Amino acid sequence: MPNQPNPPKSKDAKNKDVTIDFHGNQLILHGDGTLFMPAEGLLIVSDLHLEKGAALSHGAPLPAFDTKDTLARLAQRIEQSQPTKLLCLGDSFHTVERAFLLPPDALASLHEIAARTSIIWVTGNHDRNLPDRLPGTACDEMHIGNLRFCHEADFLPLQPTISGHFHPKARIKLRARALSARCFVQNDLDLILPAFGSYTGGLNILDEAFAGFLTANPTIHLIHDNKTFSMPFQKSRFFRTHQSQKISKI
Amino acid sequence: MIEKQATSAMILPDRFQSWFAAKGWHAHAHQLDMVASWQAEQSVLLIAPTGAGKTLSGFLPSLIDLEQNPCEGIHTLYISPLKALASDIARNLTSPVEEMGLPVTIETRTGDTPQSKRNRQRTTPPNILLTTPESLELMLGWPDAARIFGQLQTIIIDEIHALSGTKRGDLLSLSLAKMRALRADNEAGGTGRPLKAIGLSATVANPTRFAALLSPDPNHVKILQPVLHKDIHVSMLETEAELPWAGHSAHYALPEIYHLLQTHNKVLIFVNTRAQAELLFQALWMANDDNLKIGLHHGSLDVGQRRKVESFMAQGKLDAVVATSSLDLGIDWADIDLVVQIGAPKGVSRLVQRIGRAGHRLDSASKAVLVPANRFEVLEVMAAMHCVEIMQLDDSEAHPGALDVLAQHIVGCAVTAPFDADRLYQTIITAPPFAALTRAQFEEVLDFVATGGYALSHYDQFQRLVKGIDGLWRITSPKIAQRWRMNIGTIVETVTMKVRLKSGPVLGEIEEYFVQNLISGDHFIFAGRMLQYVGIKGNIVQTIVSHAKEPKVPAYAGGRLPLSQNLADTVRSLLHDDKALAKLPAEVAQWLYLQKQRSGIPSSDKLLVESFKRGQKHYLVAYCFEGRNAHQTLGMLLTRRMERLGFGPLGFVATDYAVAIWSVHRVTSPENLFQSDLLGDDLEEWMAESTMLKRSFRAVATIAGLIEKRMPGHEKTGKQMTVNSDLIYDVLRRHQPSHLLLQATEQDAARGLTDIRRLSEMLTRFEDKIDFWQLNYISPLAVPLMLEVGRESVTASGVSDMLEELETELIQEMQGR
Repeated sequence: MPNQPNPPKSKDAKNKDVTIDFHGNQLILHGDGTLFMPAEGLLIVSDLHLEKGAALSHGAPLPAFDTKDTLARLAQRIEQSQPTKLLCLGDSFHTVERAFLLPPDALASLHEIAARTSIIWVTGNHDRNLPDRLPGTACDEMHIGNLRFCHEADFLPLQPTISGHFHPKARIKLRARALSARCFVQNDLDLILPAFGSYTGGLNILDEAFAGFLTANPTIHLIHDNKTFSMPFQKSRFFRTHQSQKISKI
Repeated sequence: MIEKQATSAMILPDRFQSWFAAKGWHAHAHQLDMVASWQAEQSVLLIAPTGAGKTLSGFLPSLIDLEQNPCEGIHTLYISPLKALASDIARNLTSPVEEMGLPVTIETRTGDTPQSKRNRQRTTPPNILLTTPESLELMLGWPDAARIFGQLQTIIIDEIHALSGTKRGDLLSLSLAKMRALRADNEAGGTGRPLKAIGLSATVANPTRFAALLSPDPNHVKILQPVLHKDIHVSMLETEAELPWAGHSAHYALPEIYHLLQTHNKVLIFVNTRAQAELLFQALWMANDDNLKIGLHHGSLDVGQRRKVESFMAQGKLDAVVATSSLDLGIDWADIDLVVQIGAPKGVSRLVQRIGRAGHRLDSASKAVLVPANRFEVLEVMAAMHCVEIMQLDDSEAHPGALDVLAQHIVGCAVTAPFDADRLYQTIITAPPFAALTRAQFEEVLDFVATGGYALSHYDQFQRLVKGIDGLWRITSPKIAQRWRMNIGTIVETVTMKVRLKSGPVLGEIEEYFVQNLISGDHFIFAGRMLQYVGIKGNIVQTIVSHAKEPKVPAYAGGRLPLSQNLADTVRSLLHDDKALAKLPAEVAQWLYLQKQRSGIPSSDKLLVESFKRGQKHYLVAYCFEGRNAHQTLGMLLTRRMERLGFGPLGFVATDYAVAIWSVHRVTSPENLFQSDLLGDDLEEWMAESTMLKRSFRAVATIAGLIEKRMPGHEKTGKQMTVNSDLIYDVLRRHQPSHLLLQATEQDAARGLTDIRRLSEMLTRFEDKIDFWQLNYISPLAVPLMLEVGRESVTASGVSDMLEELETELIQEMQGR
């Protein structure tokens, strides 16, 4: 041990959350990409893309630990937030076919989650018809108070909307390096969640798909290392990689 | 050794004798030895410098045999690491064959060969086929490979030193093992004569290791190392200018370098990185009052442009070429009378190879001038000159064969024909890099190939191979074979983007991550031009011509070679050799003298570590001399440990010679830091998040066939593949850290990128042997390092702090509005 006093580091918690007021609703943006609404005991998560590993194992078997990994992280969040309801904002399964072929251990994990909180599946473009052996209920969209919850937001929503689908990620330049991280995208009427699935890639917020959302006081909430960092969207601060995945492939 | 010197009359048939005579040549003794050995059914490794007629030596035995026993089908297979070399050799070989009227057909087959020609080659193969390791592996996947190679007498491997010890070398030795096994199975249809291998190599430190590649029984390989008198004149550039403290451009010596071009006929200028090549090329053009014709050659330039420079060079149309390692190997150019090496040579073997490009004929001397770019490099240049003088070459270390390459090869074996696991294992261990492969390891690789090898239940629907009721393993669908063919090889390119001049030509390719750091309006030098970055369109970087003075230079990845151990050791001993020190330029001698007055001098038995304060920061500098890769890793690990111990590390910089770390608090007992347990948990943790390791994993996963390089129809972009493989890496590490691909990734890391082996040896060697100096001021040796500090590396844990900083800054900025 070094023989001089070492002042303890001030860097505290492993987690750093951001709380926002969204049209009179208090929302907590967690560093794992989930959203919590304490007033309703509602935990919101988007784009789990369960079984993506298996779905893409055509030419060679990919390590399909992604479902297990995604559900374990979700269970951890539920343990911490103790929600009464869990809302999955669509694309919960990478393909409908894979939802039907869900391995028993994954199904068991889902039932364990369902035992602690009631699951509501909002259906997305990847999973229109879900098998009925899944726990929980399904719907196209949901309304709570003045908020609308759906899979994919429209450009000009009529009411404040919380959605997923786009897998936003942002690339920013820090002093000596660039950092690419998933993020929440917020403006006056929209809040878009990052994808939660372990194998889900991201779409850079500078892609044209986001153009309509980056108006009316846009804010980016980056998530990195289980922490959330909020910053107003300023185009000069953000960068894009040359190749963005087309939304249809996500 | 041959007891009696063979004479050409005894060995060469008449046609050959008269051909040599007509040319006014006579066969070299080693060429005759080659023929004699071949006729005695022996494999040979020929070690000779460039210009010794190595290529003809390799083919002479085959040409003679074909003259006397004309045959159909492939008699000789020539394998070269470079496609361009294969075509060049084919041209050079055609003239003697035509001149002597030999009944021999010669063709090349590489990735560039048109499909129609490839198909024909399969039905009517030539006598001599010139190809690459990848094409060979592909041909061995043909179901009729045994028939096609049934007549094969000789395999010639050119530039074997460039293949051995690499993944390509691993693949090649597996191919050769498979070839021998195929022939053994097919003995009845064959000629009954054993297959002979001929290796051609530049001068190497340890020839026996290369001999192993040629035959399962290296004792059966004859090593021919003719003593050829080729004078080498190497000197350090003499200059009036003051030697810079730091930097890599050697700009200070530009007038002298230009003078060398003026006073020589044809000059080859080698630099270590593509960025240096661009800068130097630009600077030389500015100084070019005599309108000398100067060319530029490096791996990022458009292939067409490179070929153009090569052919101009061959035709004698250029006065000088600035090049990177892209010209280390290959094509023979006569008439180069000077080689200039800019910047430290980093390794002795490479330097010798580069010097050999001058006076590319045996009777002319090789002349080279070395130009150190800074003071540390003066020491390195002196050490290198000493090593060249006594021919003390770098000994490349032996690596165990790469497991990802083995996985690819096993798929290939199943593509050829269903295989028996026992027999395949027996064949594989005849390939020297895999000689120590255990049966358990083999089973693990086979399991990975077949099922993915994951600790997952319910996951048997995606098998690549299955074992049939006959006990043989076979592919599950023809798609597996197609995918294997498309993804063959071990070269996984870094992700690059084309650079186009607005409404002009494509200039070449640039690494994607450099582009990510460009902002519209930035200037950079590329392909010898100053360009302004406009934007990205599709997958192409759009640029316009710029007139700016201050460029941002492409920072090419992987361009930097670490200092070789041999050279590092020589530098350290040079520092204690008064005779050698006396020969140093005055400024360098003065610099070392001051260092000796104020602090210590690095030595072989103790690790010199200094600490001092500058501004608000405390610096810790360790002069390890283990090369920048090892230092980079050491920097990462030390900052982690310092963070845990509460020193508040802020950043570090690594060079080939030393690593410097700066922190909030002063380190007073470095013994606690430099411990071999550094390579324990911290290394584990670092590996989990290191981008370097993720890149490495991407390569491993591609080679092993888990993710694809390219598929016809839908070309996967490099970027999407990266994202994907990064996510796979994270998840795999969390759920099955012992998985084969992670083992292979760590094997790779230990072998190159992170140089963990060198680091661990260093830590063990210097454990409790630290020469620690607490200084009031910066030491003379540390000055060059401080000048590198601008390019700081920030520790991974610093990212959150930086994000918070940015967050605050932006919010304040916003509120100010």
